[in-house]
Amino acid sequence: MKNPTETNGSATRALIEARELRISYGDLVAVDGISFEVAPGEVFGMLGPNGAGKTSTVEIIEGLRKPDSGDAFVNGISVTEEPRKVKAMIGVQLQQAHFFDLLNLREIIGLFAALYETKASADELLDRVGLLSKSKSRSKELSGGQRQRLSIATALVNDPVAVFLDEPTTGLDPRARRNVWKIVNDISDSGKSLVMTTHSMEEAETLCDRVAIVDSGKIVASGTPTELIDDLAARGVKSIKGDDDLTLEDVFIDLTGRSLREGEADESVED
Amino acid sequence: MYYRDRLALFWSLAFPIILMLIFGFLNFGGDGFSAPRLAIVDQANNRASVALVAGMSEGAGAVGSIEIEEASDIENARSRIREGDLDAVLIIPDGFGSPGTASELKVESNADDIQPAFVAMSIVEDVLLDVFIELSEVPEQYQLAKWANVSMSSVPAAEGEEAEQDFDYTPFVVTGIVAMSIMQSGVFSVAFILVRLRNQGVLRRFRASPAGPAHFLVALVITRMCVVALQTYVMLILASLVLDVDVGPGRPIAWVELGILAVFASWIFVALGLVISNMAKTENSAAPLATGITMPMMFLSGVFFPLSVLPDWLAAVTQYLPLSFLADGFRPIVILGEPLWSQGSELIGLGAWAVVIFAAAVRVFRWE
Repeated sequence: MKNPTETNGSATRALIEARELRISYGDLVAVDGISFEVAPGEVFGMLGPNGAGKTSTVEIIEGLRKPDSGDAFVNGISVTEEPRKVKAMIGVQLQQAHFFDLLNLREIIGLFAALYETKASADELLDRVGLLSKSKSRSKELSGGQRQRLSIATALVNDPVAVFLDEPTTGLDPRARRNVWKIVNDISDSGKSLVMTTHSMEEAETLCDRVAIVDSGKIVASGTPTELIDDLAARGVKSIKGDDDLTLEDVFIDLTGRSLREGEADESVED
Repeated sequence: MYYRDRLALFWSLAFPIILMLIFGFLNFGGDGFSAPRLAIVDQANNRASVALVAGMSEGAGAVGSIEIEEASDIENARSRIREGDLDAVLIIPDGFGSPGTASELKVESNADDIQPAFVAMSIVEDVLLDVFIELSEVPEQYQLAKWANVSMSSVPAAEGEEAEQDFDYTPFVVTGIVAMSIMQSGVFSVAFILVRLRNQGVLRRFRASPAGPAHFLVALVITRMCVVALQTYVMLILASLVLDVDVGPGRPIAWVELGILAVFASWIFVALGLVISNMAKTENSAAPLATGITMPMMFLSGVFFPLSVLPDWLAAVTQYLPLSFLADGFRPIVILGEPLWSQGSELIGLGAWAVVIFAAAVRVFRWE
């Protein structure tokens, strides 16, 4: 056997598995039977508009929300049964990352290392996200992009098998966005699985090995970006932009009948 | 981290210290501000006594050091002394001035505030001599003792009720402010930061870690309790060095007991801060809420002035406030050197509040 962790002899055992997740808030069904698998080392993207259920899905797997039904597994461990074990294995970056305003970056990493009971090197982690020069700055002095990178650094303190990034580039300017992408690639290169949510087509096409398109709490399509586009082309659908290059945007419009960015509030762009 | 929050440090430590020094030095309690008030109860009501009262009034006016009024009822005067409306009473007994009998004039005052009685005594003795000379026309001083004596005593305790503890103002207000600062720093040090951390999603991020936010919360509460204990000691040490307050006279162990009481009470107010942090949606709404709860307590719990200055119906309610229990628990230990364990009713009151507020905090607490 090439991989000693393989026990059932199948080609690739899923590192993360979501099984028929459902959650509703009052009358609103936010997640309506979402299932997917993520292989070790794979970058999996959930693409969809705001309110599609991406964040709720990710938060169920992270152990932050209890699903009404269904379960999620990381490395075969159920998050509903053993949330602490799952939390210890994964790295998490949440939307709206804020930290203690009065601590410097090195202290924040130290705090998270304590929460995960590990002895991570703060300088090494800050170096990985390009913030080593800021290690003595306080978190409130950081720009939006820098704060997002700090948030990713805290997701790495426990050397997780999988990292969850919830809209890591939303609200960032193109340069800051590219900095985050580079870090995502580095994490992926180090062999960790990644699950990220986004509503940027470009981001999904650039970073993700596989994409699930989510709308109204359901996965309406999934596959590699190329597969999804090829499938569309095979059915003779033309790009809305009138050229021959189909994009994930076209896939989304074809599936849901509307644009991904439709009806969204303007995002403030900050560095 | 708390140390870096300069504003919180100011409000929880520097502010009460400044207040303590202001009130401690100014001594609003009265001694330095108004002349002692003496009531004269004339039971004799004869030529001699009228002359004495008139002489007293003139003498007092000349000296300007005492205010004199006439009263008819001894018991009434005594109870006014107990309540602090009056400083001393001079009782002229029936038969004063009758030839051949030595009358006993009495000056009564509060046991722990005999200064006004001394002033009254010295005036009485001066005037008595004049009256004696004028009436008897026998200018021989040595016979004065056969004619009238003046004695000084404290007001007897009111029947059926315990004599109210009456403290000097400086230690009274200093201990009150120490108690108040425990409330302030307990409430304010957790209410705002938790609202902020919740709104910023920091608590949520902690929830995503295997340790969970409960560890953080426990750490936060313990830190605050330590800060409160430290702050209590800083204030008490300052009070004893700068304001000459004898903390727990003759009982060094009182310092330990006061620390225990401070930490125990801080728990109540930290829990109150937790409750407030859950009632407030934003930091801006937490501020008026926290102030709205602590301010009335500051003035209704006998911090700056004794509860007896409040209307009875109000005092009847506010004596059950947690800050009242804390201030009342602190004072006998600091001022009279009583042991902590003798403050039974205050400890029970604080214990009841601790249970109630903790239960409320557990009920309303939200992570997000």
